[in-house]
Amino acid sequence: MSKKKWVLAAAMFSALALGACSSGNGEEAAKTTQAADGTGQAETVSSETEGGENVTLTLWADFITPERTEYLNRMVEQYMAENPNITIELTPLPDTAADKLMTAYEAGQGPDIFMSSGPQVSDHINGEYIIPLDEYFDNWDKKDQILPSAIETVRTWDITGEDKLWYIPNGISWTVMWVRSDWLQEAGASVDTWDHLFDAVEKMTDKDAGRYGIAIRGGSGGAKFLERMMYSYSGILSKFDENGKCTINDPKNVEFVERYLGLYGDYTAEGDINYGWTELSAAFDSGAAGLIIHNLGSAQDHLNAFNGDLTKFEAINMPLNDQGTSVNLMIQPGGMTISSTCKHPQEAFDFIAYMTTGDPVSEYCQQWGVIPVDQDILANAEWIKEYPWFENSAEALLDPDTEFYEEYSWLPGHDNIYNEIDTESQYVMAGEMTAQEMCDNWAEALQECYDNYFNQ
Amino acid sequence: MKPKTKKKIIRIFILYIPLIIFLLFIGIPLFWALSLSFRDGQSIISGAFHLLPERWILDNYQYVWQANNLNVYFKNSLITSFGAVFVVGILSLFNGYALSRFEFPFKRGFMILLLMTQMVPIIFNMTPIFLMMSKLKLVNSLFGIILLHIASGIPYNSLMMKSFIGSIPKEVDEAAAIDGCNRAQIIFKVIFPSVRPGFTTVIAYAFITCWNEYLMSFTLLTDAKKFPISVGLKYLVGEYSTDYAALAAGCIIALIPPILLFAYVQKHLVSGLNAGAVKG
Repeated sequence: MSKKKWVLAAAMFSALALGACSSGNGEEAAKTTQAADGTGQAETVSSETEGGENVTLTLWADFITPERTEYLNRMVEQYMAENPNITIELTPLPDTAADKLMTAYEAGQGPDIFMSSGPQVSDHINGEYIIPLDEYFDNWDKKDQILPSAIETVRTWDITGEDKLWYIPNGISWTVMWVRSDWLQEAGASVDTWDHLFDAVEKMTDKDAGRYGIAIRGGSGGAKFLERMMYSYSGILSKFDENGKCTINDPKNVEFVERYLGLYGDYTAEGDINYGWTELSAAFDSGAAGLIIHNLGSAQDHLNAFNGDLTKFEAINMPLNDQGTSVNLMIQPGGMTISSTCKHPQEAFDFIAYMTTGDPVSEYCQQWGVIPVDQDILANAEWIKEYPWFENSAEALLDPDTEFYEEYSWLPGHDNIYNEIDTESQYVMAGEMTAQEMCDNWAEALQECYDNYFNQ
Repeated sequence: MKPKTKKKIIRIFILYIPLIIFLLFIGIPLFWALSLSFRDGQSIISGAFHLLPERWILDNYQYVWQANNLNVYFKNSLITSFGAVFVVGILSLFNGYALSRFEFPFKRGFMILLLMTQMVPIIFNMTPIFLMMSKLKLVNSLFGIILLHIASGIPYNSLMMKSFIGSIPKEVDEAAAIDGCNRAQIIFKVIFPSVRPGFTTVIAYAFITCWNEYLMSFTLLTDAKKFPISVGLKYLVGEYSTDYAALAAGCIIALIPPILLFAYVQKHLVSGLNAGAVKG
């Protein structure tokens, strides 16, 4: 091709590309939704109504995979079929989408409804990007179906101190110990109490065979799980006592850190010091480690890795401590918020209500690997009975004797402290810092956070 | 030892061995991704090490292309990248020519300003950009993304073009003018053929930048079927688990256009980079 033709062709392609995509701008006016087959083909949805005002709602959802997109598309289609005057425009987003969401909120163009595995409600409340849902929730005929402890947990996230309900929870991620049942049996050990667990870790370790009793998450995210185990071990039920003093450096918690991080090197692989979630999961699934702490979200991975053989692994709730109690954490549930710019909050809430009960939430929780907040589903869903980890977790959630510790995760700045402690725990593992020093630093940072919030 | 043999040995140690190490450094992850992309996802999770797949399968490619809509994201990336890249090339050529040939007030300050645009992380500007695009009704528009690619590509590429054009003596322009060429003819008939290697470099660089861009597209597009491939790949990284085989297949697909482009322009690129390096 001659030079002139080459330049001409390039210019024409640019012009065509610009022209082709500019038409997309005008298309925005049309109400479109993604096709249920997940092909991404736009399908024009009629907004002609059989009664009632035509309403278009935008829905964004985070941590979406192709399978989750398929589920959401189907639910949206079903809802729109039942409510012909409502059009839901779905945007499935990979990862947390936090930056995207905040930018859109700041520009007043956030979604009407945001569905998240763990919404950053503190920031959203601070920015006045979302509205409280108490009024809608109180008038909802199915409100009693929702697990009260989940609602209470959501209320603790109200940084205005008014215990308002800023989002409707749909599923709870439950922290468990994933353990190799076959190794335990072989070693004649059990993990019902913390002392037994430490004993089992030692017995399951066979360094020569490249088999370790436990894998410790020394890298990113490790401190968060370390904290859950500390409070389970000590039996302390709040991160701050009645005088507002931080309890994280309580002697019992420090003792746990010494014992737990002390396993590093002797009963773990050397690489554990840098393990994030991916490496931790790989260690368990590849048969290099006999025990890890995570949540139910990883169940499908383990099931795949062990070819569905349920005799090889199981999930246990937090072991019993010295006081004979199992202390767990009610993690911030996932759920759905309504933005302050939403012009149809009642219709948005109706959609949230639809997604939070019955089959939609049941399927959601199955897909997301979380425990449903709908108590009917929790007690009766077949898929929960099918897998022991879901059943155990559901029983623990419904058991009035199950104890939870108050994490204060909603405190502004609280979660940033974990990053520092991730690093300090590595120092402890490497023997360059004592558990006491680490816990004291942790307590100091948390105390500052607490004082800033309550004494400002 | 003969001087020729000694020279050969030095050449091996100074040139070939470092190059081989560098090649391994680049090649091993690529090879590993290629191998994973043909493996069964379950065999990866189980941790069994195989340099090559025990059973070669194409399912991962089929899955990412259709179920994960990579076909749609791929097309979007082609539109935004090609839509922007030639405009960036042409405008950078004009800009580079002006900066190289003309003297005007605050020229030096202007050039520093162009350079400074590269020093501010894009995330700092994301909210103002979003507001501006919103006012222009260009949020959720591929055309808007192309405009942003063009705007963000011009400054650095203009400076690159200035360097390339600066390596051509001004006397060439003057000779062309004496022969009756106007300014446009000088640029297209005299300068452009001489800086074609540089122009190719600019095009290749602009294309890679557009192709890899993530943040602006992810933030400004609200319709998932308009996302580019860089965002599409992110869907394969789950909340608690990652489909490594599918992700590897997606990455290989995403690599194809840049590899084809570089294979095509490689010869020009090398001479272009050299030319730019000589003249500051």
